[in-house]
Amino acid sequence: MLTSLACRRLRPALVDLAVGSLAPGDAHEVAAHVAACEPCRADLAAMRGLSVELRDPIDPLPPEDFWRRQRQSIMRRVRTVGAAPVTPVRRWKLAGALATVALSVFVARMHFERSAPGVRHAIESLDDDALFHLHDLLPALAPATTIDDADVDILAVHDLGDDEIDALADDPDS
Amino acid sequence: MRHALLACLLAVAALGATAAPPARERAHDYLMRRVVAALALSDDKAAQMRDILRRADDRRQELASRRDALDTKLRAALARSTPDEPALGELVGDAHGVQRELAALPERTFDEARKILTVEQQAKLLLFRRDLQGEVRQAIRRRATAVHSTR
Repeated sequence: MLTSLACRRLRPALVDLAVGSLAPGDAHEVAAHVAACEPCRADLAAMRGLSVELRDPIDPLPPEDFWRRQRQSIMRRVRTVGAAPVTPVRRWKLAGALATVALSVFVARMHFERSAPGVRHAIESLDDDALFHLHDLLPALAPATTIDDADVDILAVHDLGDDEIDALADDPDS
Repeated sequence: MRHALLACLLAVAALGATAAPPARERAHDYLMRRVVAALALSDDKAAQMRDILRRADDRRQELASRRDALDTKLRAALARSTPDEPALGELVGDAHGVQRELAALPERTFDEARKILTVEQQAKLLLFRRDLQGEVRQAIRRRATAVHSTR
């Protein structure tokens, strides 16, 4: 029992003795107890072994092979993760971008045609073929109101030769 | 890859939807826009007017084609040293009939339009046709001048 009480009292000092930080005056008493107490002697031995390992850890740096294997493993994971989900996402992004561009062109064109009546109604917006077709079609829409109008209506622009067009251009009153 | 192809197809379809129609359709579309604006046509009246216009143009093209063919035959018959007078007379009759139908076409078209238009719209149509005809002639003249000045 006495031994047990002494063990409890000296237990904190055992730690200091193990790491070598116990004051020399106290060390004598603790060493005398340890010499007589088997359990404390075993504890001191265990503490000393631990302190040695803490001061001098076994092989603190892994070998180069360990890091090489880690790098290879990481790169395999990067490739695995990067190849599968990223490629479809990029394709969808491309598809989305193309579809957006096409839709934008369509909407812009529709909007422009609707919001610019002046342009839509300008005769110059017609190309030559459509203009000539309109020229031929208009007389069929309603009767001519004057003899002059009727005369001009029967003029078929398709039948004009280059010289006749030149003459028409030279005489704006015709 | 399939998604990219799908996107390309979508893009082509969208752009195709905006591709220019034939000249005849472009002329019809333009004329209808102008008619609707000038006569303040409702949607249903515009649709009826478009049908009248299309029928008139179909008939005009058919008659013009027949007239051109008859003109060719007339020239060929006249080019002979001794014209076949009975055959020539038949051609003259046919050509005159086509010309008469062509001349009657505006009257017929306008009569059809009168059935669906108010009197005010009929009056506007008469004036509009002549005004637009003037615009078209001037546009052709301007383009002919431009072509002439570049020579």
